Amino acid sequence: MHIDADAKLVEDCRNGDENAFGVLVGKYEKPVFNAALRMLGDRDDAADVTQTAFLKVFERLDTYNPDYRFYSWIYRIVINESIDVLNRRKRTTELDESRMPTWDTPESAIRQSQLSATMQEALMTVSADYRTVIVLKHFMDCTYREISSILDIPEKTVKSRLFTARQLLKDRLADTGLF
Amino acid sequence: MNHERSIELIHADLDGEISAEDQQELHACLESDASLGALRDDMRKLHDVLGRVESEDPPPGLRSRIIAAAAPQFTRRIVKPRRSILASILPGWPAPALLRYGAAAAFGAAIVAVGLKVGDLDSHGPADPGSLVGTMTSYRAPGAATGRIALDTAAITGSVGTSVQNGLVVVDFNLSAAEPVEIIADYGQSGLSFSGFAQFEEASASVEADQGRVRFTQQDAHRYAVFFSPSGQGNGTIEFQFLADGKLIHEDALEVPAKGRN
Repeated sequence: MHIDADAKLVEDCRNGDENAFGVLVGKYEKPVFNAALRMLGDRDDAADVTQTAFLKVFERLDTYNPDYRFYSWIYRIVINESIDVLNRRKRTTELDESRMPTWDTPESAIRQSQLSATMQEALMTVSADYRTVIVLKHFMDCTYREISSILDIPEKTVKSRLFTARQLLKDRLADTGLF
Repeated sequence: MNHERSIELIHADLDGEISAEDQQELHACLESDASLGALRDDMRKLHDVLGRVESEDPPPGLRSRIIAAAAPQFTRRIVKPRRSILASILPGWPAPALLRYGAAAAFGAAIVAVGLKVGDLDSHGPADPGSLVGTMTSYRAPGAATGRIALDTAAITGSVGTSVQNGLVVVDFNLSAAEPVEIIADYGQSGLSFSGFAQFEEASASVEADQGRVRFTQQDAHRYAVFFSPSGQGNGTIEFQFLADGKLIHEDALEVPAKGRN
């Protein structure tokens, strides 16, 4: 990650450079979308959350502290937005089958697609707290310290959640042939 | 050896967050407890499986949708509104002087065009209102939308919304298109007549209004507003067509609330 470059882009946004915002969106659109997708298991919701996260970033540019990494900031926003969506879902329906992950599977990518779908189904069976640390560690490549900063929890708690989450995920995947 | 500590070392090792000293400690743990080796193998396998899951591509158009959604706020953020004598026109408009400026410019041009070309006009508006281009230095959404179309196609993304302000119907085009997309708003049966067109500063689109249709071409992320006034009985529906390279890529309709037509 180019931390200085991101801080410069944020500064340029603050100064009215619309292109700088476009560059930030281009750079982080995919990871932010994937974080939301793994949290939510639904592409439409993930796209909406991605858009909301970037707009919140834009609205809060003046509050951005360049001492912190930009991606930590936006990951925190996307995780919080995703959890809000999960909470709203919980309120509206106990189990909506249409929300279960569905993945297009072009023949050329069917194995990857099946792996992705199987993993997503397993992820959706663990609680949001556990899913969050798995997403940040394995899909966003964050360190323990970064996860601690993003979630604002002690590093010790990050480790504890991660170890439990992995054990749960392994158990869920045990019957799928992946283990 | 504390079992919890051993587990922590195994995960730290797989996560690449183990020090040389802890690495030695882990080695000793594994030698003293064979069950830890099985746990490490399981976790390594899980790491491998997770590592094989590839990132998904975001849906087409998401990036432009985000940028288009931020654009109006961006303009508000960076442009200090300036007062204009035209602020007194269309009093009470929530987007104030600057939008009024654009609308008023369009009205002014419309009056001129009507005056010059009255013989060519149909009942829906001036035949050649190419000069009906109001320019805004800033833009705010003109009031709460009464109707909205969302677009997220490969060719064009964003939204079209309607609102009613001071007896005028405002159609707000907040769109982004990588390649030129022709937009046609058919208001021929709506009971409305074309009253004006306003756009962002630096945008250079012009509009044609003729035979009950408004046409203009969208490219890049710009925001436009088309104004209509009630002119008689109609179904209140404006039908929209979006064409790329002459081919229809999307069509939709918005119904104008009765209060905008009365």
